[in-house]
Amino acid sequence: MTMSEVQSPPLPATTEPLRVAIRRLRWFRQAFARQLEQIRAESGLTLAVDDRKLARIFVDWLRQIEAQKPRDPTARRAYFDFVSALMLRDLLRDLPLRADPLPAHADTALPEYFWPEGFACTLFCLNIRAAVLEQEFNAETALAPVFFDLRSWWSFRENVGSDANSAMGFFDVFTGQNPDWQMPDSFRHRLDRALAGAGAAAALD
Amino acid sequence: MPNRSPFPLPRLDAAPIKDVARSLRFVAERGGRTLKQALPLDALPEPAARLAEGAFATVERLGATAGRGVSGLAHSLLDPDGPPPPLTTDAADAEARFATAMHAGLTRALAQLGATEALVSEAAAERAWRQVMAAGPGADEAAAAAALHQALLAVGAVREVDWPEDATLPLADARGLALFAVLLAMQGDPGDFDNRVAAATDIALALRADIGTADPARLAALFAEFHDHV
Repeated sequence: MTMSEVQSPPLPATTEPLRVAIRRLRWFRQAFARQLEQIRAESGLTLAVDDRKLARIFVDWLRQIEAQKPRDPTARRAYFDFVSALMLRDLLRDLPLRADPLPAHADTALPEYFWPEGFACTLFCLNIRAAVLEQEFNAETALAPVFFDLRSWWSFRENVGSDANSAMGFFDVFTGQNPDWQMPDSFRHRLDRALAGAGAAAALD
Repeated sequence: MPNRSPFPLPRLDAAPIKDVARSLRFVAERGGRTLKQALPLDALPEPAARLAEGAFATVERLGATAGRGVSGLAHSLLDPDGPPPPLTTDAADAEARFATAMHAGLTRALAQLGATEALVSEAAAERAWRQVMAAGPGADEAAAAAALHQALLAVGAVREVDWPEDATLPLADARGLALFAVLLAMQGDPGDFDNRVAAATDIALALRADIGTADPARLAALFAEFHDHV
């Protein structure tokens, strides 16, 4: 696999909207497992999951997103971006998976081999976000070119090591959004920044 | 003339029979393990070693035979694979279905939490169900689950557990968590029960700090918070 060939794994079947299914632990685990299986098939990387840790992360994430759920329906799109980034923050903070030794052919100039655990978690969150946005808003998503640059991943890994919240800023960068580096785990702050930005843009028009 | 009994037969409750079968099997298996650990078989000279091994085999056979025999009868009386009932139903067969599912779920959850063996009483589970239903569980499934959690603890539905000495999770906590997990798994869609118990057990473990100190109102709130997220 090369970084220019990022593919979404087939998500587990569900009769529910994905935004609902992702908040069920059984579906969440299955989707995560499928992402890892796809990475293994395409790169030879094998990653072992700590199910208990993954469940703890899921529960913490669930409580945070429920607590910050907006009442305003116009904030839904921004909220889905936020919850995806928050999921990545929580996954990278507690890392519920561990990579086996790299395969013999591994090229560590590629992000997946440079940081397998971080790559897997990031890809999972990106793919879930893309699937939800497509289903809810019929919106296409694309990765920013910086996602394919190994220097970004150097910086990403180093920053997350010292401050897990920075994962949310990097997630925004990878998805082509304006990152919030100050208080990324506050949805209210994210909305206020967006409103202030829109106001400033309107004033310039 | 139709072959009819002159008097209606009383309903045969399979739960105590199953409990007896499982108790016999549990005691025999545990006894065998204890004997094996306690006796220095390797140090015994012949023919004492051969005699001791023969005695072990007899004990194990006895337990297995007793377990199979009575368990076979019990299983012929009740479908063991039926889904659990809604926790607020007053259906006639709900008590037995609840107890059967509680046995299967608790055994599964305790194993996931670290138990090597567990003995769960269906008769005690039925008793807990009757207590809660007699008090009137209301229409709120989360409140009924909280009441059942308390009742199941009080009646001692988890009879015996072989728990690893080096486990970081205390057995007393594990009992409460396993009960929470099974009751959480019983809420909502009754299908896929085994997988629901597996997921609910990990959720319960993640909520250990909350569950350990929760009163019934807090337990009900936790059930309500998570029943859609299994």
